[in-house]
Amino acid sequence: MYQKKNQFNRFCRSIAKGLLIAGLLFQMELFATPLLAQYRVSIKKESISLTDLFNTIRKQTGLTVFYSEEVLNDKERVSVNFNNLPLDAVLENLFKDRGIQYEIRRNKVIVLEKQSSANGLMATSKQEQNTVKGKVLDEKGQALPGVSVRTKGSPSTGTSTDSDGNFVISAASNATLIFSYTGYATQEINVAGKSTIGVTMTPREAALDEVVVVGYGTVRKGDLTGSVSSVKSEDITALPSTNAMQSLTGRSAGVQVVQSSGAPGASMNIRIRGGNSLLGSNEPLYVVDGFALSGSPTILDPSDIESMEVLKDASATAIYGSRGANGVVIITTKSGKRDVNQVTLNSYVGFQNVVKKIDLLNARQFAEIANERARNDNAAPYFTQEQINSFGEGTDWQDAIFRTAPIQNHSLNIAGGNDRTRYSVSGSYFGQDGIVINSGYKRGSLRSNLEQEVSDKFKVNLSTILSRTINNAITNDNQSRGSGVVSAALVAPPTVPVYDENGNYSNVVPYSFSSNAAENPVALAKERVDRTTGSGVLANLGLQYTFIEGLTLKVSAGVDYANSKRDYYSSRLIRSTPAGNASTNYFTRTNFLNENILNYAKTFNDHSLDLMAGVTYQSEVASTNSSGASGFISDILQNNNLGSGTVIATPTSGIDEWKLISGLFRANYVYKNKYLLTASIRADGSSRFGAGSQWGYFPSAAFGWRLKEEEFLSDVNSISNLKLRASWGQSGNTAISPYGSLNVLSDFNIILGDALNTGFAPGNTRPNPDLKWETTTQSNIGFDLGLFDERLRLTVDYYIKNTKDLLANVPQATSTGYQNQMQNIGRIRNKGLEFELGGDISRGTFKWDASVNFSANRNKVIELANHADVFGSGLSIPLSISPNLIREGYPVGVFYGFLEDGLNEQGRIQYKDLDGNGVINNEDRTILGDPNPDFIFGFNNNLSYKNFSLNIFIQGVQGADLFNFNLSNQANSFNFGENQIADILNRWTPENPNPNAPYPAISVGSSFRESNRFIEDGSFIRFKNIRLAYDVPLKSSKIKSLQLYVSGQNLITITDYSWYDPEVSSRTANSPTTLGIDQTSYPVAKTYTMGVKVSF
Amino acid sequence: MEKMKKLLYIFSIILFAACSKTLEEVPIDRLSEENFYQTAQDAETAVNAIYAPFRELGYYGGFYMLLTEACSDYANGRGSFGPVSEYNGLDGANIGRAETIWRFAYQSILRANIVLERVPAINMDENKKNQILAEARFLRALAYFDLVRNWGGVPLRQSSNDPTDLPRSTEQEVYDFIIADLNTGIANLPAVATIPGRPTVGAAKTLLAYVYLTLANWEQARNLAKEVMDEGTYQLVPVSTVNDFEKVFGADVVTSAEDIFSFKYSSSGGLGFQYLVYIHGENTLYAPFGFRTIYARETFPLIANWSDRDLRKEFNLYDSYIHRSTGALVQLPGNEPYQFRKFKDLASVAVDASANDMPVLRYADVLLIYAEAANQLEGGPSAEAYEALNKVKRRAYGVDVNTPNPQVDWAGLNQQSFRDAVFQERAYEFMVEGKRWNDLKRLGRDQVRAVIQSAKGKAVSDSHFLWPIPKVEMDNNNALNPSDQNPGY
Repeated sequence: MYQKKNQFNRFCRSIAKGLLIAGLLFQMELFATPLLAQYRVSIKKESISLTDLFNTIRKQTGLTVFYSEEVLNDKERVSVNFNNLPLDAVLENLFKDRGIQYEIRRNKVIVLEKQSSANGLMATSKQEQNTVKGKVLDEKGQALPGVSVRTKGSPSTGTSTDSDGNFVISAASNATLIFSYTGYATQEINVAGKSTIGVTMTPREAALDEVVVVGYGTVRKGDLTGSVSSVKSEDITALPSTNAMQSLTGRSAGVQVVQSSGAPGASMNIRIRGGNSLLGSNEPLYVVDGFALSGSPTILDPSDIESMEVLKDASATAIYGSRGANGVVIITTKSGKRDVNQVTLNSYVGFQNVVKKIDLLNARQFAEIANERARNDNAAPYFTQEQINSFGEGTDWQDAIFRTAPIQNHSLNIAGGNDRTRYSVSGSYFGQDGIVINSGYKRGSLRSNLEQEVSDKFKVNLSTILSRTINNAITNDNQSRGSGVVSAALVAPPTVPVYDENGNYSNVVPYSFSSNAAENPVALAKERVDRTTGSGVLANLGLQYTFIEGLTLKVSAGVDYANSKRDYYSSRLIRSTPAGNASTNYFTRTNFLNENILNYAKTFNDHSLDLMAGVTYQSEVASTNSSGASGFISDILQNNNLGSGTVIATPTSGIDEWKLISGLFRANYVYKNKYLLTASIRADGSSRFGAGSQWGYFPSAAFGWRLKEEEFLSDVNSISNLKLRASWGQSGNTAISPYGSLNVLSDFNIILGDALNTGFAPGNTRPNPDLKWETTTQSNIGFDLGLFDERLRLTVDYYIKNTKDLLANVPQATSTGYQNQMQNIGRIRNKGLEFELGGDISRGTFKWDASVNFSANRNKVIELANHADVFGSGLSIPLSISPNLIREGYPVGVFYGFLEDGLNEQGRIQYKDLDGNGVINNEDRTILGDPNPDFIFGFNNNLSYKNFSLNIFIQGVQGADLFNFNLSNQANSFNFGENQIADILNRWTPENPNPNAPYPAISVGSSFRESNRFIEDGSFIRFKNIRLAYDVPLKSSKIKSLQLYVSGQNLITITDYSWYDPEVSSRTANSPTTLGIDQTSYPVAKTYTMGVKVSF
Repeated sequence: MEKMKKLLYIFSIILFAACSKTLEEVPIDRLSEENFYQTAQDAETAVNAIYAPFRELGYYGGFYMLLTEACSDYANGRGSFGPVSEYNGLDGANIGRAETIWRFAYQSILRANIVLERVPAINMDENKKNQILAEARFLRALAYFDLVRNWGGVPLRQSSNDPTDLPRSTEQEVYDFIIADLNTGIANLPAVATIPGRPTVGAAKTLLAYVYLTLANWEQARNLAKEVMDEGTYQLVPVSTVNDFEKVFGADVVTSAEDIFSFKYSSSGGLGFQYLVYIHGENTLYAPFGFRTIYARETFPLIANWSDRDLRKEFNLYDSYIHRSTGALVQLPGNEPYQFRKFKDLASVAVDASANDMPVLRYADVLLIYAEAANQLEGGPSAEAYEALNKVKRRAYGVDVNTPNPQVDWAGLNQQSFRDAVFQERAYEFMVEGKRWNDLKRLGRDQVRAVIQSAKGKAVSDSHFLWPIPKVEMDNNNALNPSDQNPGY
């Protein structure tokens, strides 16, 4: 103990040589700088040295007092009698005549400094003092407790508002009072002789003191050298969203969110600054409360999220090494705040509708088109004229599957704490029925964040999230010719009712021309169970020990556990499973993470240094198990008794395991608060790669220059912030699945005699022992500009990302016996420009703040092995090829195919013979379009007047082409007998053989290739959210706030795209390079909700 | 500071000591090439894997037959197979199907090559080893035979280490390779299969006879067929009623006296014969479900002229069926009046649960190869050739196979009309077994055009005779130039 104390004293003395400490940069705390008034001190002592007095203060408040010998002689003895006095009063009392000012830094430290004589304190303090009182309100007119009120030029004279927002301060009649509160713009108000002052605080969005969470730590926004966007809780919960990823849509420059499908619970594709990888994942790494997940944060309720930080440039992501190349999204869940015990309930209910329907042929038109096909093909007519006359509109199959579907979310959060303990616990329920019958998604989750300061040096923190999700899926996306629900509704003949006269599902393939894959859509939706029930636990225990001020060790261990069970039963009422088909799949994943991070922070003179070093270990085991059966005599048991089936499927199981061992180091150095330098390196060893390629090293460096701190700008008052940033770094991607480098053999079952025999041979993937890391090198330059006291804020970034050793699943010439091989095939480049502009357009009673983000990414394949083209995954018949091409010199996934050249005299499509060899073959294919957007943007507006506030959020994508596969079914001139879009009536006919007719002759012989016919402009501008809220003025102080709101999502979409919705990419989730395909995707919904948010 | 140094030291120890072992990747749910190919059991397991691609739905599990039968003169394709029967070359959907056949054939070839490279090093009974090697060669020959007939000369992959970029060999080179493989097979395969479904010496001889027949090498074809006939291992299964054909094609049959080589399927484990759901419609009793992908019209000469006395007619064709749930008699639509029912499994409950086997070589093949080859070689039909042809016909008419029967037997034919009779017999005998289109192609393109024109009134385009080399092959095999593609694609 003695030694320890000595150490402390030695340390204090070392700073006594004019050094100052600012410490603990790397704490995960996000809460506001505590106010001195929050701390109470009780000391009664006749003669006590200042050293002992400060020790007592530290014990009682947890705050350490630092000072230099020049400021104070700590041997001096004083007599004190403080009885539960606020700390600011205590300090005031102690230093009032010493010319010493104090301020609190980093939540932890009170720093005493000599007052500079320039501040005029002495002059003003001699003036006549009046008592000034007043009330501070927030932008909604609610009392704001805890606002710091100081006299300008005299930081030591200050107070803070009480729980009703009232304050009393003594100040000279000409004094200027400074009101400050975290998250709000600091205001200066001249007393001007008044004795009562009313103040309304306005929120400040881009406060430079705001703490931003970065990899393995936090940093003051002003000190940031990398490119990081923050998305705040208000934006995350502004509109109903299933999960955290969805709420990123349009919120941050450089982040593109494409929902693969509108189905409830469908996966999201997130691209940060474009896709780097052709294989596996282009999804960012998600880090929830410090835990780097191996998947997506679907277990989180969006309303539990305090903030999301999107790390974009290499200086920010390189610290995540081999997992950082696609960017990192750091999610911080809500934690308790000291002395603010609050219960918040947020509930909304709403309903959803399909955005639009496709205009199809009615029954009569359908029959006429069928007969036209017979006539064109020299076959007998399928329908008699009487039949045709008897058909009217017929069945609207889309009406049969779409519905108005409810959506609801209820979440309750209780949070608070005292000086040692902080807690935040919440429970939530989210339920969404899909707009297609029998689909839906539910999630219940429980979460707690507990933090305890066991002693001044030792802190423990436990965060736990438990969740359960139930996803009722329907067979839908990427189907064709009626094999999925939406596809079946579009294919089904309108001449047939949903149910026959006996009340059974009617036959939707009654004609000899009918598509033989088609199912009755209503039967397919209702009689097939596909339910995945998942449970997840994310628990992380953190222990933090402070050896000496500034030197902290944080050890954490956590687990991300998930299991799911998929129940599948396709009933006997479905055409393709007349004897039922059942299966049960189990999936379990356990991901363990241990991190040991050492932080050291030190500030001396004009230098401030922050060092971080650590080792981490992460491992994952995932196993699957599935069994199935068919041949059931009844539908009753579904998949709950597989043994009752007469045909038992071969059970399958598998297990995958990977491990990652890492060492990391980072240094942050700030000189004169002007020049910021960050350097980091991470070493990763991954089990996924072949021996010899297991280790990768990922360095980064960044430089920031806060020009505003330079003298030549100090007088330019209009500029409140100007910072230039430049960074360079490397990060990697472990895109390959485990065992990708091994020559593994797959098992194959065959029958010999009448018995099952097993064979072992290589599977479809050709082994490649030379696999190595995919490395992305990114350079970034940018600046942050704040004008007019941060009223206008602009951030601009330009980046170039070069990815080398690109991993790709390269299709093989199938004569090799393999279909694909994982290879490090080449290089790809993404470069782009990002703007984020925010402004408080109007302040005062009518408030309007707006923010725009805009990003343009250009993606180009620089080099491919052997300069060979690579294709995406193939579509379904009739276009059983992939239109997505990866070719040197072009963006990834451009559409590739034939150019049409009108119709020939038989009314068949002619293609352009581009190579002029007289034959239409593969050499006549060319680039048809580009699914990568020219630019994407988001435009958010918050308007408020008195108690009303209005949010309008507009989001858009420009210049992204889509490949509308649906046309190959619904606009294929009836060649497979599916129902057609009404526009098909503009077809070629023998009577009117127009070579430029948009559709070829109605005939079984009209065939289609992947051509420009299917390419459409997928640009759109969408009113993503419109939300009107009313804050109910409250008499009772029991309820702190009560807000009622109504909102609508996707109400207006401006687009030329012909199908359901342009926000689609139905195959990207399974194949990252198969971009911009719309194949019978589940349509996005239009949603209306109303809700209430109350806290007490 | 001391403490910090100590901590860093500890960290580095943890880091580097733990790493090297931890990162070693050892899968526990799969085998790898490194620890396999050690024992006789491994060798057998490796050869078993060659069968898997053949059995797939995309190949002998259904689509190989559908794609070729839709080109025949007795069947039309329906739905997405409809364009095949237009004879304008394959459209996108069917190009995809042809690509799948190509892929599966080559997958079998790769696996055979791996067996031929790995098994010789295994320490095991030499006799058994040679059998396994010959089995791999037989299956490789079958895959190449399908490739060369439908695509022409193809890249000839003889080893798993062949470079990816490999040009097309000539048809002759491919045939020479097939013949060499089958001759090894003949030398080393057992006379009787250890288990039905594995090839025998008879299977190798029959397949080789087929190859020679396709090459119009009548002498070799005749001699090999004769050898199989003389060995007496195989016999036609006698038939006296229509239903007796179930003893050959039925779901319960494991093997039969005339089964020379077939791919075996089972009702269990998802290892059923999916072809059934494509040849039948839904609601029949013959299959659990159906797409009725091919059908016949009565205007097709082979259908129109088919004698009702031929039991195969009733066994093969149906124009009405009993609805499986209502029990009503349902007539097939007037423009698609006939479906095929050679393969049916009344007990099948799922798409992948039909137990019929896919016959590749039957004793009827041997007899008809002999009849045709002898007739071609000898300038006209000999008594032996007649006998071979008539045995097949007698069985079909439900009379004693070995007793001449003037009411049934073919007689009084010249060389040309005898060959026509053999072709007609082949059409009836092997209906929906995927042989007709390549039989027609043996007659030459002009003859094919004439047959299809008279049967269906359709003109056969040049691009219809050979399937396109898959795009993925053209794109990734740099030894192939655009000019190497088959005509019309």
